[in-house]
Amino acid sequence: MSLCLNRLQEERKQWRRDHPFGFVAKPKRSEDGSLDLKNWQCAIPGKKDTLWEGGSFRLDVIFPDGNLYQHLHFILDTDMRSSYFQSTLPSHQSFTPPLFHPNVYPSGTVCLSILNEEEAWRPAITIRQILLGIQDLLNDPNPESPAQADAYNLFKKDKQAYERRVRQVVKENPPM
Amino acid sequence: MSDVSFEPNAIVRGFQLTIVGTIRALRNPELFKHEHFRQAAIAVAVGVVIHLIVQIPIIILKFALYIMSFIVNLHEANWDDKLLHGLGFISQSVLQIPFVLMTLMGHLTPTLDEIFMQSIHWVDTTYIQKHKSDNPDTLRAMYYPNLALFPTKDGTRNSQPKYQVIIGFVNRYGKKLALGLGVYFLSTLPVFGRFVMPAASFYTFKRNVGTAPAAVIFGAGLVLPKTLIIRFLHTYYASRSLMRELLDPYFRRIKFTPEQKRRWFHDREGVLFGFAFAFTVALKTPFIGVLMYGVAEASTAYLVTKITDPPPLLQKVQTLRRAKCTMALPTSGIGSGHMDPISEAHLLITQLYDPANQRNPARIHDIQARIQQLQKGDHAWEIADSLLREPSAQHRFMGALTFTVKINVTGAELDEIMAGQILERLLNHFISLVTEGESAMVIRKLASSLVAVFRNSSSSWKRALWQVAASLAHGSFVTEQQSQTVDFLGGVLPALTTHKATALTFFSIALAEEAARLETEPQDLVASVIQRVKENINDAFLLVRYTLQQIAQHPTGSEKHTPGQILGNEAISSWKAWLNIYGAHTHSTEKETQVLVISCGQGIIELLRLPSFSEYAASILTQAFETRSWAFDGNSISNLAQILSNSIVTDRLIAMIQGEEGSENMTFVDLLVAYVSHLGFNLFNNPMEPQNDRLLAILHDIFKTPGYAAIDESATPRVLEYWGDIAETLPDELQSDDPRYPIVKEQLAKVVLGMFNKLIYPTAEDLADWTDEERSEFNAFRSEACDYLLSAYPTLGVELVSVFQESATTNLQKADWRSFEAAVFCIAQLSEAVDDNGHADQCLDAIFGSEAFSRLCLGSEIDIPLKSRQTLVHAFGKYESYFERHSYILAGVLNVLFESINFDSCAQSASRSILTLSKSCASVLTPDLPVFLDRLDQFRSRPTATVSTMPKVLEGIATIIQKLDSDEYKVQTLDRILTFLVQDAVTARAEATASEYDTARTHAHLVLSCIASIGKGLRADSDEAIVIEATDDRGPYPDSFWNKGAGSGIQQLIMQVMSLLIVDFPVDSAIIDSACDILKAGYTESTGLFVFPPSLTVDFIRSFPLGISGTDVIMATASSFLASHSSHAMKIREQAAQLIVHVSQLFASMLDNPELYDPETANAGIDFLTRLLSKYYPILFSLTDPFPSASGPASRDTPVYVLLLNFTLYALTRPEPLVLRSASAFWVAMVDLRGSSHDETAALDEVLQRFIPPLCGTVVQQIAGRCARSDLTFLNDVLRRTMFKKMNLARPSLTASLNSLDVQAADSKTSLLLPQDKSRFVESMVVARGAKAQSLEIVRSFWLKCRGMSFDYAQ
Repeated sequence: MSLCLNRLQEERKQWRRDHPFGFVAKPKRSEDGSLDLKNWQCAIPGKKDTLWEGGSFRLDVIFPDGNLYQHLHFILDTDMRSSYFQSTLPSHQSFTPPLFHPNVYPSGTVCLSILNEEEAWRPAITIRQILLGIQDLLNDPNPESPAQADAYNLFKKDKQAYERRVRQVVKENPPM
Repeated sequence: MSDVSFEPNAIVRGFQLTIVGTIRALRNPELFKHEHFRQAAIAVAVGVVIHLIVQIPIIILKFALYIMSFIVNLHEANWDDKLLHGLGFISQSVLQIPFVLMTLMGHLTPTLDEIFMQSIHWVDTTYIQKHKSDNPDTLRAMYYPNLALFPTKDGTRNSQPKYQVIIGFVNRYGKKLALGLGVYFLSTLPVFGRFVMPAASFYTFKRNVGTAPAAVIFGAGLVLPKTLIIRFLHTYYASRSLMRELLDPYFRRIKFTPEQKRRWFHDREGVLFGFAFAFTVALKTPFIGVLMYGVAEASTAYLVTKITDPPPLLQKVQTLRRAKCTMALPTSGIGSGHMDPISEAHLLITQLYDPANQRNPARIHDIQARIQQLQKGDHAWEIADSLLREPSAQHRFMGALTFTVKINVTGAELDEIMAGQILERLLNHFISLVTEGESAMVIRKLASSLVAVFRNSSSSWKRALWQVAASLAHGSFVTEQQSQTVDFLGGVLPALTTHKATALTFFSIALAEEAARLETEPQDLVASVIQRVKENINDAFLLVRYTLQQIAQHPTGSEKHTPGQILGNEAISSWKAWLNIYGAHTHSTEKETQVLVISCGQGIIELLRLPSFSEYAASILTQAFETRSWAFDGNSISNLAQILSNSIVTDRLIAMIQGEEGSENMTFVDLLVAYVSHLGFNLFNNPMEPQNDRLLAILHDIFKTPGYAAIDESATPRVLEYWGDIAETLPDELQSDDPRYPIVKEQLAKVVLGMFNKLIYPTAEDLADWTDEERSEFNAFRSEACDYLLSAYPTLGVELVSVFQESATTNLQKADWRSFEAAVFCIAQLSEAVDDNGHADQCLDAIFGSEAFSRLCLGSEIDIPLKSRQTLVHAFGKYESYFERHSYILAGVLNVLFESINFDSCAQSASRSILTLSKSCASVLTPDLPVFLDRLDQFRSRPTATVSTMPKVLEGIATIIQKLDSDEYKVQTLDRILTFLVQDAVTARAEATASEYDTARTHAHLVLSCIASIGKGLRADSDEAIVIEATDDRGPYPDSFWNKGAGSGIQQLIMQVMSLLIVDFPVDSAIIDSACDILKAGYTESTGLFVFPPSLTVDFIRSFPLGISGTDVIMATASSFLASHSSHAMKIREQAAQLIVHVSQLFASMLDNPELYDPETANAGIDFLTRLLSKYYPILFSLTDPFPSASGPASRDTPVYVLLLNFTLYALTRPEPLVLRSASAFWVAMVDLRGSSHDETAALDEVLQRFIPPLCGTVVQQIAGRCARSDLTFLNDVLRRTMFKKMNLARPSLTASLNSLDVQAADSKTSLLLPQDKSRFVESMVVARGAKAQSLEIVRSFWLKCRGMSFDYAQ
């Protein structure tokens, strides 16, 4: 546990020292203003010269207790509110829409090989690498592991419409 | 070549070659682009001038004769004619000025050489083209690539300066001229004269062409007139010399001895004469003749290919050349027949650094490859030795490198004795070069060669520094034992000169750096080396300390790059390098070294005072402070504090703060921050030490550095980062009753005040000069600065907010918008800490409740600058909870927001805030609705009213409408909004009709998403629980105010818009999305505007053809539709059946026409089926008839439900991951189904009985290595659930499917699966009892077995 927190504390320090431009990664603050190191608020800028340029995509990175990096959940909290029904059953609680991207699950979890234990995950991977990895993924989706049908189908079938949608997503997520 | 050389045939052949060669050359398109022709033109011009100069005396002479003719009767005498004729002859034939000039040019500039090489290349190319159809093996070898490999200059020529070339040329030419003139004058002697010419020609001819032709010429000379003979002889000589010049580029590359060369010419005399003759004549044509020179050179290229063999490879020539003079060399190693490796290495290195080769990477690459080969070869030691004795530093550098390479390649094969010998050799080189004042580059390289010896596993070298130092002091190699007879510190070091001490330090650093590299290697291999390195730690630090003491005693001036300064900086580097080794390997038990390390650190701290060292010392100390704080003790720390607070370092810092030009120096800021960070909270001890007090003052003053932070200066961000750390760690580190706590708190507050000015946004003029990157850089700084505020908040509390509140309020009153903006920005950032809990409400009231703010809200007369507006809008968004608590301000805030949506840079966040604020405070806002509607009317025609803003605004307004008490009033307002949306829809429709598809689509999308948002806003409150009655008997579309009453009119409007923009409209996926959102908006409601007749949804869904992009969303809507009616499923039986039949029609088309197959439809359709199963399966399985229009092979006579299930089985075999996944999910849901009555269960069982065998067959085929690895998880789910739930059906089917399976290895006919594998698989699956992980493991190993083990990740 504390090993995990130490590691995260160190990551925080490193990040403050030096981080890729346009990226944000900071632990959230709890009620009393102290840092909650297991719950990070991040933002990834769209890469230059890609469709995603000009956008800044916020996501939460959660480090569950004890198991550092074992199950990372990326809750992409975007302002895309157009497709607000995901589940069949009408309900009011699951309105947080996922980022429009072939490799982001409807739950918001990101499908990225370095995050997958079975594939390329290593304990030495830092938040910086993860965020840079997701940035790469934005413009270079992996069609082999589709996560949401919406973006995946458009990506496969109608590139123009896909790009239009991405541009809108970018427009609605300007950097702060 | 022919033996008979000077005979008519050969001459004719030569002449032929002239013609063919010229034609070839002239066809080369590159030729006339050449530099040569520019030079030729100049030569022609020069020629004309010189010609005139030569002509002048002749003209004068002629004139003199003319004058004389009046006095003397010249008609009688013929000497005057002879004289004139002779002079003309000399001037034209003998001097040949332009020709000479061009020849000279050929020696000076490489253009002719380039023409030659270029033409050779051209000849090669045309040759290949002409012989395209021939067998490539029989073609001659290429000339160009081989010739290009040869160096153009040999050693002697290389060193000749241009003037020498010219002198040589003049000499040669002068001799020829003298000879020619001599012969000419001799021949004018009476009697004897007539034999001179023929004799001379006989003599020269005999030597060159043989006796017989010479005799012929001699004979002819006796008979024929003298001028003819002269002309012939002259032409002959000229052609010979022309030939030599023309062939010069060739001979520059192919090196011959003079004897070889003479023979070469002799063998080809005739052809060459024939070839050159024509050119000699052509070249004599006055003036333009010179231009022919280039053509001649180009034709020579052709000639060369005809009269020589392609040149052999470089090494061969050299071997050939040397074979005569040197003994045969041992040719072990790389191939045979090479030149001796030592000379080759020298030559190659010369070539490597030859500027001529620098622009030819391929050539460099070849050279390097060969050098590396030599460096690893058998002669490497000798090569290295000999290179180190070269006069050029580059060679010596490569010599050192060769040592290193060879030592490393030899590796473990190097035995101890040999290692000793190499060490001795190397060390002697090292010493002699150091003594001679070798450059740092070579010394460093040699030092690393020494380290290479050291790190060799067979070396037993321990006290390397001592030995190298002693040897340097002694002037030649000293053994390790001998060296230790003299004390290192007291004896050896004082004996070293600065240069030697520097060399020793180079070695010391190289040793430490090598050891640091070794840390990352497997320790069992390098542990012993590291152990030996450690023996040197003490010596290394002694050397550093000794050097530092020397510098302290004899401080050098401030000039850079003196030997003393170099040594000092190297000592600093050495300290750092050895700190790493010491830190990693030594335990605190070794007190003695620790003391030494610290005293070195003190020495370096002292160097800060010396201008020539301070910067480098500061950067190294900063690094050491951050990672090796044990290298400092109390004394060093207080020394450092002293120096930082009162020395040139302080002056530099203050100069920077005062913004003095060029004084910005981050190194010292970094050191200052490193120092205060090192102290931690002890910096704030009470009472504070005076120098720390001073340093804190400097730290605060840094915020006063002129310029924008992060753009003009980087000190502010660095210092702020430090304060951020302090603020963040304070609550954990200090109790609030700690005496230091109030001091820290005060400091933190001081930082807030100090940094505020740095947060002010640049003026428009300044901003205009910034690049986009600089803008975002500054924005990033601002956000990071606010991070500090959040970190300081727990300590400073609400006071922090009030600081900015006061600033905001006063600046608002003063209309100082830039400061106001900065203050609001900070307040916005602090919302995270205070918005929810209301701690700062009072404080916020002071701004938002102020009179100035209400004036601002009224708008109109106050013109808020854009940036301030943007920040303000952003702040409103951040304080939603506050405004919810203070709804009386809300109307004003919304007023500002509505005003702001008209500005492009604010529209996004303003519309978002409008939405969130109206959502959370809708009921308070109902009285303001008319104002908002007016605002909306202004807004909707603005360019900022886009699909990303307008729907949000409308949703916000709709949430307020939803709170209206009277339905009539709702209808009235909604009508107002919808009317203009209908108008827009009509416009879009018109645009579509006019084929303006893009604008039409954009408009349609906007209209539909606005309506969808209204629907969303109108939904009943989320807080109010939706009661879905267990028994709902109202039916799918109960009568209500909205479909039968006064509201029905506007429902009609919405449906009108839908049909305007969907039916026969160029829809796209975005439009479909929004349309579906409109439909779905009412699904959660039991009654309302957006509760449409079920037929609307069904018709909508059925209206789309197969393969449309957006099918996914359409099908999901169908699912949502069915789900919303699931409580009364049987009441929409008809609609459900219609939807299912629609899907089956889509599937049938895909089964019947594989080219129509669309993964999206497959996936979406199957998902739809999966979702309806639980509630609607009775309807699905009651569709036992084919659908009416069924006609294809897949659908004809096939019940709808069978068709659908067949398709899902087909989907399981598809390669698309999503299709396979949804089909798997479908079957998992299928086997999980339970009938609610006996009849239903029986019906279900019947279906399963029919489908489980083909299902098992399909799944088995897939997991037998056919599917992708990632598909296994899903197929396994199907298999394990089926096995678990329907064991009695599934087990026999599985066994049967396996038995009919034959998996063969790709390369052989052997079966990969044995019968026992199959039965074991079934057994294991049974035992697994549907457990996920367990059965997945079984399935995965089965898959691997079928694929062949090579697919295992482990391998």
